[in-house]
Amino acid sequence: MTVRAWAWLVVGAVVFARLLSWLGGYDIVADVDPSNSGAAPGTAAWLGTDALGRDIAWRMVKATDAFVVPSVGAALVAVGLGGGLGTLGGWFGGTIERASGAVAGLPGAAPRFVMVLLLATIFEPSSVVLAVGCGLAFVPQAAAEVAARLGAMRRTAFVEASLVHGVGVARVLGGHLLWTGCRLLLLRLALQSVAFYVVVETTLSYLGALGVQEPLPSFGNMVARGLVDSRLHLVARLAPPTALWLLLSALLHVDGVVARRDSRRAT
Amino acid sequence: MTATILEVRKLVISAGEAPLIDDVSFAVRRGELLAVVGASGAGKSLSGRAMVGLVPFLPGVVSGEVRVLGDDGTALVTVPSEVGPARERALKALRGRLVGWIPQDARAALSPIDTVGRQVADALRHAGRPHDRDSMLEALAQAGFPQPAVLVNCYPHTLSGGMARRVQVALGLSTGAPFLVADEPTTGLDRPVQARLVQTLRRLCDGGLGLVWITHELGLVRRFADHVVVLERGCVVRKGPATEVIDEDSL
Repeated sequence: MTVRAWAWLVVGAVVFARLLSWLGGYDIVADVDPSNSGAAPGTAAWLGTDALGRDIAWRMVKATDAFVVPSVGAALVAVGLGGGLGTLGGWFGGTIERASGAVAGLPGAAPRFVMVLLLATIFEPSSVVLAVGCGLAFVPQAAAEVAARLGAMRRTAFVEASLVHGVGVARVLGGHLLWTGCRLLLLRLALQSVAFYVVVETTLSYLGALGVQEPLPSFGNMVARGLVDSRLHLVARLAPPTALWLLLSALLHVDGVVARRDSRRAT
Repeated sequence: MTATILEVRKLVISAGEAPLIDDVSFAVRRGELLAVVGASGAGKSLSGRAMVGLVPFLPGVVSGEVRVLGDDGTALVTVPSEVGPARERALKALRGRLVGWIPQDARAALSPIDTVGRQVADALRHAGRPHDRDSMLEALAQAGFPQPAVLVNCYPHTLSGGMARRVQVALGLSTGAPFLVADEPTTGLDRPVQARLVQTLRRLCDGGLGLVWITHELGLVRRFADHVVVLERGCVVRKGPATEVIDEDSL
């Protein structure tokens, strides 16, 4: 089994877990059973239970609620807004490129994580705010890279020929330039913003104040509890950080595969 | 009653203070093959690019216009020199509908990720013409491919220089435009391939196409062109019937 297959397997498992969480009917309150605290893995609880007797496996499935959909939202913000501004700048050049670059560069004034923290502090900390913040954090990079690529491609012979053959600007931009030249780049930016959202959400939940709060599960608060509660079974303590590590590794690995393919296409 | 005419009037293109094209005017009728010749740097390709609106900024069109006149002598489209919405509207009406273009670097002007068949079918579709397999094969056959079916699934990088140029001819014809501007379509091809390509273009002109043929090949011009415009340092220094302008001395 190749490393790439592993990566897709992990991503598939996350999507499956999210669907299972949606359809499975797990009740986070009814699952509390202090008499079953720290149980070892078994048929009743595959990965054991936590200090309140809650099924770790089910809580891990439920924890995907905290990041799967919002991280896709973050990717859409990064690709949509950053790609849109980059497309404007790259196609028109000149003043429009400078203006769109200035607008796109605004979120880049602060380090990514600091900017998300600022947003979460200014507004009510929610998955929507975090998703927008994480998406905005990638807008400067997305806009700059798309603008640079389109700027280089818009004067190429096949683009000029398409325009002269009467193909509309929208079709040339969408069909030829963005699809041909930028789709792998945009996919990479989407993967990176998804990974960034997972890291931000997990970190904030680990720290407590701005993240997902108990009794709702998150990989962050599960890792935090596992670190301090030595009564839990080793499998129950290691399962959440291992799953998190696998997920981030898979995302970054797929990003690397796409980057290599993008580089080969560019040359 | 006159034939439809593609006309360049008083074209001036400059880069800063330096004029690259200075007051160039010429016209081509449907069914006519007009050759534009001159030494390298004379402004041939720049004039051709200006005709299809590919010289918008620097160097930029300072003045002049490109017009297409209908059978009754009225202007169907006038492309002004000023950059703005009026020019964009005129170019939209001109490009692909009235004027097609065969670029100098034919292979680079083909989309690298689409097959030849897909690109020809796309060109037909954009022109609002039938774009089924038969129509696509017909367009390729018109451009001089004896066995067009072989090409349909080929990607541009697998084509020879001559084949890529013929595909560009097919794309230009697929638009259904009555005029074509061909920028040095024979450069880099050996003599027999050059001759076959120009024969194809001549045949298309005999069928009613108006062609502006930018070239260095004076021998082929004398054999196949109807009229010639000679450019030198951005100015028209001579124009007239090919057999008169290109004499034995020129060759």
